[in-house]
Amino acid sequence: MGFFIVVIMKKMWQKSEEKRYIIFPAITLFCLAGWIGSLLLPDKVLDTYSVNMTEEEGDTEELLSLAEGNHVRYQMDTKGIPMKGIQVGINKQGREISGILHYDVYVMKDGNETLASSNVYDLSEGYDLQYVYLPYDGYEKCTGQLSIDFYTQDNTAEVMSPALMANHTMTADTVTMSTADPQFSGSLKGSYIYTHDTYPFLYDFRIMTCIFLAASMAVHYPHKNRRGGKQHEAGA
Amino acid sequence: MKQEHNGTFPASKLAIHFLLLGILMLTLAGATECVLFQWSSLAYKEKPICFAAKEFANGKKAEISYEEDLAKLTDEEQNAILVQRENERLIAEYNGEVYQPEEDDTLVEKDGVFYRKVMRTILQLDLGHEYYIKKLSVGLALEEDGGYQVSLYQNGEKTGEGLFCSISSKIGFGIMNVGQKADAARIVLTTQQKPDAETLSVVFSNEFSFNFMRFFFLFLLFSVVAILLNTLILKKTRTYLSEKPEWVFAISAFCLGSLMIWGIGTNQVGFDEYAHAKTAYDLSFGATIETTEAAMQMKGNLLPYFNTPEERQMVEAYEQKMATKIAPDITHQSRMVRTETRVYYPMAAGFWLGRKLHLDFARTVALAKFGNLLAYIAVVWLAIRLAGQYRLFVVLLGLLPNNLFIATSITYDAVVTSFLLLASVLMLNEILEPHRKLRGGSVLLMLFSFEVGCLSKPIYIVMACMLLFFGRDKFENRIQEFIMKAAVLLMTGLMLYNIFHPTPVSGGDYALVSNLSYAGDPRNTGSSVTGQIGYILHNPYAYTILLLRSMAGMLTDYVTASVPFVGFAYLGFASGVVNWICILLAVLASLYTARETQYFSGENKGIFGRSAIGMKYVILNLIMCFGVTAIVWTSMYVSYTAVGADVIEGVQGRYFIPLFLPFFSCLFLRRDTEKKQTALGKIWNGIRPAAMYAVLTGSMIFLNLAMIWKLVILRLNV
Repeated sequence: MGFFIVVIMKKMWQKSEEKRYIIFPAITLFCLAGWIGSLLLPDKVLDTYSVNMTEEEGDTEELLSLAEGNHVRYQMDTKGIPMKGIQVGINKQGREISGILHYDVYVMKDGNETLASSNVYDLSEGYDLQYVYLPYDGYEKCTGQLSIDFYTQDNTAEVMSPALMANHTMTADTVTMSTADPQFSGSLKGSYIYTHDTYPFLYDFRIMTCIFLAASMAVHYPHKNRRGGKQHEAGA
Repeated sequence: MKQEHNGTFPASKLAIHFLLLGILMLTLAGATECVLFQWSSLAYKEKPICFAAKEFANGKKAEISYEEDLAKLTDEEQNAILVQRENERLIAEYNGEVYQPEEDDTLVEKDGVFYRKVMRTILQLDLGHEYYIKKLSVGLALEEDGGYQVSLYQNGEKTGEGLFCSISSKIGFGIMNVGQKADAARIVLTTQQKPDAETLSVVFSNEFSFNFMRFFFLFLLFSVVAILLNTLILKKTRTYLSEKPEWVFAISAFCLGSLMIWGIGTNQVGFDEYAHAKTAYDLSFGATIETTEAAMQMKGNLLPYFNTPEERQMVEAYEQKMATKIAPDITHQSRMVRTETRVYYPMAAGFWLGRKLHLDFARTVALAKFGNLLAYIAVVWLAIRLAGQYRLFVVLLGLLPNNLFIATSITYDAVVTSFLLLASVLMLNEILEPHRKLRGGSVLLMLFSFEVGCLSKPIYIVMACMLLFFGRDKFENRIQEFIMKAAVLLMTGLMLYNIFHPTPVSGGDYALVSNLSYAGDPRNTGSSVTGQIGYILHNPYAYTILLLRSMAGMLTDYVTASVPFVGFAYLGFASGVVNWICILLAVLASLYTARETQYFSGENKGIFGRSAIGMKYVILNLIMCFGVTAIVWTSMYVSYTAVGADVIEGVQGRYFIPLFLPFFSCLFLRRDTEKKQTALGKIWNGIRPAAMYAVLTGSMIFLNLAMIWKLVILRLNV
């Protein structure tokens, strides 16, 4: 199969000899367009970074109650990268629950807190024990040291409340506090979601632009000279 | 019709001639295998003598005793522990925790040296009579790898000792070649814990076992000799050698490479082969990777190692069991492939094809290696075809044992070496014709080859900068010259820029493109990229002296043959004398280019002729070789060596193979005109091309065969 591909490519190469002065520059322009396009239109991808998803040996999972009036505060550091959202485990304790989960994101700087993003999540969505993705509106402002405040409203579960899943592992650069359990020592379980720009073909377009530009120059001027020579002969 | 007696025959007779020759070589190889290597089995026909639990229990012919001891770890094992502890310390520091080294009850540290507690089991075995021991097999169920040492006795006197063999816990056997007579043996087993005597078995055997690997080697050896002898009598063979050297290379490389792939099997003996295997294996899948237990062991460099054909059978059976009996681990990856990963496509294709054909694990790995070999052969074939007057040199470079070895391993070096060779050939062709304008196809293929060759090792793109020094005669006009050189410069700059700021092509790449603070090679303690760059900038003079001293030291070591260059990675190296042989072959091939060239110097310069590339390019080539060498050394100092160290670690001779053609091209000559040749020049130019090709190519093939015999056949396949 490889042999036939090589033979076909060789024939195509030979047949294209007369037209290379058009083909090479066309490919160069295509690659240049691709280069510019890749830079202007990057592919946005979500990257998930798991933080404290499992318990160490001997540890047990803890539930941080989100009954109305209770708040769970989670402080962490994005290390300068805008954070797209957070993924936390919600334990509904086997019940169908309705209500709204609020999660407000504050940026902490020089001892001051500034509200960067205020968001809601409908508790009737999702399954019990599911790690749900909570995106931040205006996530571009959510960078640096963040404090995320979780609380519920119109929570129909009076006795059995929804709760966030946590354990007693001390995750670096984080603090987890619960008004329902001031003695709690541990960390929220979940993942951080960041968004990154990726450029799948940028490298190829850049290099191919250079290669075909050089090759175009190598075919353009000989063709021009040959054409000039023929015209001169015709004129003579 | 009269037959011509000038050595030419019709094609049909030639075919019959070579067919009969092939049959003769097969017969000769078979006879040699049986008579020379199986003589003991034919001369001393005896059944195997076995010792198992029953014999050890009744204690008549076999006694067993135990004692505890300390075994010093190898330098590699010591370093592995230090590296692991350093990495754990760094992680703890990063997490803000206090570092506590993990306790290991079997490890003892004395004066900074690590020892492992071991159990020695001593077996005293009475064979009853004089017995020719061809092979000794010790079987034992172990949780950790062990080994044993054998001493042989005849009539109460020690006749052989120092025979050592390892026992892999995965196959539970260690089989070694003995080749001596004895009537008693003392075997000392070394294990981590006291072994279970119920699982212990010892077998002394002298059975006839036709070794197909060795048989194929002998067939190849005899065939090469026969073909070279045929060049004396057959004109067609002679002309084929000199007129179709690319095919001679392709056939030789394929045969030698096949021998290596078959002989080495799944033993991971290449430098960092497990790391390359991981990438190639993952690349062979789409978005979902299915990693079998066997593949996981391959990625972790944990596959059992075989030293004999019998062990090989057990190892391959174990690997196949691991590949099929345990459910594979499922992971995911992006479909977008990083640029430096693309060089693994030939190997990934082999893995993919092996799965599609439902081949067993060992055959699938072999197919991956064949993918690499075929890609290497194809590219070097093209390089030889395009090489023109210096094809002989390129053939020798293509058949260099180091290059063939990496082409038969799972590593990207074969793609790097072959494409850089092709690019260098195209560049050199342009240099050799300074008044011919650059052609589009040549420029396209040259730059493309540089790009592919530098995908994984971008520092070599500096070699493309030779184009910046092309004279005005190579270009149609100034505009063309300016734009082309600007394009090459831009391409070089972009590829070098990508080293420090890699372009993320998919999610998950972000971690790779950010934060150099903890970047360094995890294989070496104390390495840190930013730390080392900072050290160099603060101590430029000291670093310059270190760099020059290191470069000169390595060159001196290789040229004076105090350090061997030619070798097969962890399998071993040829002696330093082989360095000189290869240098001599390269010099002869370089000087012989004058005989091949169609270009005349017009002047009588020197003994053999005038430099083919001109003094300007001789100087530029040497500067370029020096510059790339310095960059390679610096890159290893920055990424692999501990900060502030007074030696540069990790540099290997194979990193400089892409520079061989530019370097030796300084010796390429143009032919003197007939009138102006010196006496020595006349003799030199009078040597027939066929003779030169036969001698030099034959020498390189024999060198490969000698190394395969010593390092692959004798070490792994007998």
